[in-house]
This record gives sequence, C-alpha cells and structure tokens, in this order.
Amino acid sequence: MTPHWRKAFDAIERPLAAGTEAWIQSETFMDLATHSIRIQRRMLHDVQGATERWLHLWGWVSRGDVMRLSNQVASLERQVRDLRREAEQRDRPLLNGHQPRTRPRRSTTRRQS
Amino acid sequence: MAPGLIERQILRTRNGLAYLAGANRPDMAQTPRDLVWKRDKARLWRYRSSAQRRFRPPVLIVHSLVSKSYILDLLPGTSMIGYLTGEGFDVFLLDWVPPDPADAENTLETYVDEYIPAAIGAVLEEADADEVTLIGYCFGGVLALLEVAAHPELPIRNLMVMATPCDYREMGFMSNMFRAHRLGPDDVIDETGLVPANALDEGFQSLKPTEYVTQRVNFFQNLWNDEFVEGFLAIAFWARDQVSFPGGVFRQTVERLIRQNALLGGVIPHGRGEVRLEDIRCPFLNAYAAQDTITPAASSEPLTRLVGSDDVSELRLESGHIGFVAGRQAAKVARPQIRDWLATHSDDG
Repeated sequence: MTPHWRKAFDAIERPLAAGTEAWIQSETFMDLATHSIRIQRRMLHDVQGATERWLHLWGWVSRGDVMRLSNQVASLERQVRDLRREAEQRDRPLLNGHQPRTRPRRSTTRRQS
Repeated sequence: MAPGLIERQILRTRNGLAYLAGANRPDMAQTPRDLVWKRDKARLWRYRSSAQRRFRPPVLIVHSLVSKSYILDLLPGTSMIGYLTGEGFDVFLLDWVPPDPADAENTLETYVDEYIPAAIGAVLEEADADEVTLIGYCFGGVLALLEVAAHPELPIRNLMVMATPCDYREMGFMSNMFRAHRLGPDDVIDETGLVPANALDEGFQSLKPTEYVTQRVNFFQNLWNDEFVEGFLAIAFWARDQVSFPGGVFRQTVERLIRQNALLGGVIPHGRGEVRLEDIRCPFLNAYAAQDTITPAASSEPLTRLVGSDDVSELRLESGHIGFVAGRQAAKVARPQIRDWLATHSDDG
C-alpha cells in the first residue's frame, strides 16, 4: 500500500515534473541555457588565463602547460597509431583493413525525414 | 512475506547507515571473462561460461561510447551477459577504455572501419567461427548499424540494436540545443579535445530534471528492501559513472546525426561517401523501451522500417533505458525475448 507521504509527494511532483520538462523545452530556457554555458566557459577561460599568467610570473607550471604537454604527447601517439595502421594495411590488407563499401555521396537523400 | 512496520524501520535504519558510510556498494561486473584482443582503447572480452556453448555464431556486443559497459553485467543474477552465457551463447564484448586526448580525433570511421572489423576478425579467430551476431547497445547500436551498412563483406549473420537512437529530433533538450545551432560542438569540447564526462552527465540529467529527487524518494521508500537497495545503488552508480566522449565523433554526431538527422533519412555520410540503412540485409531486431528518457521510444522506433532486411523484428519493452539489462522487466520480459530471437537466428548444437 502506498504511504500517505508518498501520495502527497507524487501529487506535487507529477505536475511539477511536467511543468519543468515543458519549461526546459521552451525558447526562453534554451536562450538562458545557451548564454549560461557560454558565459561559464568564458569565465573559466579568463580565470585560468589569469591564474596561468600569475603562476608564470613566479616561474611555476600551470594547468595550461600540463594540458599543452599532454596534447603534444597525444598528438605523437596519434602519429604512431597512423604509422602502425599504414604498416598493418600494407602487410595484411584483408584481415584488419576492411575498406568500407560506401556509395558516392548524392546531393539529396532519397528518404526525407 | 513482507516485513512488518517496525522491522522495516530497523532495516531502513541499517541500510541507511550503510549507505551514508558508503559500505553497501554492490559488487558489479562479476561474470568471469578473458581479454582476447586489444587495440588502442578497444578491448575485446570473451565471457566464460559454465554452460555448454551450444549456439553458433558467437555474439559480439558493441558497447556505447558514452557509458561504462558494466551495465551489461551489472549484478550476479541480473546480468544480461551472465544470462546469455548461461543460456549457451558464446558472448564477446567490445568495450572501450575511457578516451584520453590521444583519442580526441577519433571519428565514427575510426570505430566502424577500423576497431569493429578488427574485433570481428578476432572473434572469428578466437571462437573458430565463420560468422557473428552483432548487438549494439545505445550509441553502440549506431556503430553497429553503420558497421553492417558500410561493410557488407563482413560475416555478420544477425544484427540487434537495443535502445539505439535514430530520430534525433526526439532526443530532448541537449539535442535540440545543437539542432537549433544554439550550441556548437566546440561549446562543450574541452581543451583536451574531449567532451568531458560531467557535460554528458548534465545533459542526461536535463532530460528529466526532477528525476534525481524522485529516485531519492523511491530509494528512501524502499530502503528496507535489500534487493532494491542493491539494484538501485548499482544503477545509480553506473548512471553517474559517465565517460568522456571523443571530440571527433561528437562533431560528427552533431553535424550528421543531430543536424542532418541522417539516420532517419536512411543515408548517412561516411568517409568520402555515404552508407544506407537499406543495405542492412541481415535479420534485424530493434529493441527499445517505452519509458526510456535517454533514448526515447519515438527516436528508436523508425529503425524498424529503415533497414532493408526481409527479416525485421521489434521488441518494445515497458521500461526505461536500462530495462533491457537490469531490473524485473529485464528478467521477466526482455531477456527471454532477446534470447528467443537470438536462438531462432542461431544454429543450435
């Protein structure tokens, strides 16, 4: 049997959930969310930039430095992967190097949404 | 017999204290398995089974890129993978280690033209088989669809997708934000080139903003029930345990799948050409859930009519996104029907 407190919760939650979901899909909310995401991102970027400059003044390593280094290592790893892939396809073209049978791209699709 | 009021309060107090102390984290992903192949962040696992592997071909599950794969092997007794191995299927899982900056430029083609074909080759070798049955869960279903459409030369006997998005107009708030060009991929991709896990988590939570509170209330109401608590904690832990998403795939997802809604059109740009869902000719099962808030049924439904196979089936489950793999619906309805479909489309013995 459903307890009374749960019935009361459901009586409030259901219309609230329906209202919130409708509000989230509204133009107003989407505008607010867009601005909020972009402002948050810009503020984070500015704060990180200021912190980085301050740390560099003292000759310390910043998060940005570590990130750049990490991205450089990642780039090297990608190059190694590409080389390995090329070597594998040359050695074993039929085992792991299946080429997709894609069709040439058309200007329009046949099935429209 | 259900416990009385006082006994429930005692159990609720005990479980509540254990929860607060973090002492009742369930043991997940317990089905024994062996790593049989790996490349970069791709891992191919073969599950051990005490039952005889009576069905052929082997089953290869391609997991999603946006979540962790232990949802398919959540708890002993409710594990989808455990169930299938117990029923006599030879189950392989293609899983992805969470990406790092080296994977940031991975594209759909990286998975569809490189990792998955190579993994299929490894399955054939490992299981000494000529064909595989391919299963895709969630975004893994998108990869599986593209795989079969782009690579008709691969020996894929059957294709099954679970909770797989197709019509991205139905995918809710975040999808709408990108579709309307309010946000671009670079608004969420960070300096490592990945979409951070917390951005995906927030995106999923925004689909049902009050659900977090409702789930906590359900938890409190059933706190006396050990079985419920174990299942709830496992699912809640998994739901928050998101992984980063490669920026390259994300850009393509936004452009091709969300803005062009290419899956619904049946023609998806791929590499230098395009692939067509009508080129999927093998037996096909589209399984989706009516109360799924992450991949709504309205998004998955169209796949059934878009593939070109003559043998198309549909399984509509009255549950949520994880209703295929965990919970009572999974045990009573989803798994037996999935098993029957797989058995019908496999060789026995």
